[in-house]
Amino acid sequence: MKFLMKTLVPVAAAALFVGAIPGADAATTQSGFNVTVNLTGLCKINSISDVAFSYTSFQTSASTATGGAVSVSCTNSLGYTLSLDSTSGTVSGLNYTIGLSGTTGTGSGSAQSFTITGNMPANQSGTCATAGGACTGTDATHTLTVTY
Amino acid sequence: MSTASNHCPVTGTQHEVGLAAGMVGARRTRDMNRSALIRMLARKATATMGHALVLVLSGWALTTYAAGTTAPLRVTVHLDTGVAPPSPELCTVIGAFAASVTVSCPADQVRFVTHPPLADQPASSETNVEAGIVTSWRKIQVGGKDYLEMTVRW
Repeated sequence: MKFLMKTLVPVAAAALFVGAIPGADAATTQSGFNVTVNLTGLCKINSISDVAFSYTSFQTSASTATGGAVSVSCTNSLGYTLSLDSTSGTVSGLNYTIGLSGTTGTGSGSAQSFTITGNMPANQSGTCATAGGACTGTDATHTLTVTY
Repeated sequence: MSTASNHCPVTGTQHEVGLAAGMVGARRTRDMNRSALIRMLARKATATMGHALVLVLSGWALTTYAAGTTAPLRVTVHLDTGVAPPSPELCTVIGAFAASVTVSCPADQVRFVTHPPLADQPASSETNVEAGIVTSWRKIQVGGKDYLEMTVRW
């Protein structure tokens, strides 16, 4: 009996100890892996509002346009440039020039704002067939380009 | 050549030979220089062509990969001729003054009477009808109401 106690108790204790370690006999292996993406950068013109002048024939000061708000969204960190196909024109017989508040930008992933400015020099007659009234003219020949 | 000069008497022939050998050496040197020059030029030409090719490819690459998007832009103008348009409260004579005159007035704003003091009294039957020419007209106010008065000559 004493012999059994001396022999079995340590064995049983060892068995209990090994059994108490969860997964002590499980082997593992690991391997890292990469996640890749082929991202194509892109710019888009979200909106562009008309460049609007208000002019009275032969007015003595130049007219500054309103409107011309441009919203551009580009991929984050993507550089881009803005350009106009032409910076002058004529509408209702009135000469004008237009320009951009900025010509370069770097995409942020969010909408970025620019303004198309306009100037209509003073002392112009204009053309209006409506007697004693006012006319509204539109020149739709311009194009804004965003290059990236 | 130096060895020959040290061990043999210098003769004209040998000297000539020595000179000839020197000339050959010089020619070889020139040939070598020419070859080196040609190689150098070839290397430079190759390098130049390489640079040109790089520039061309770079330009091609930039041209190829530059993308863009466009949007139409409208420029509008509201042009005021500086002449005030007729007030909508006033009557407008359409055409020239003549025997028959068309007068356009806003509805329910002007009443036609021959004598302003008779305003607000219902019109009776015609008492006299003759052809005439309207020579002038004016708008007057009587009792807070607009009236059109015409001068007719007949």
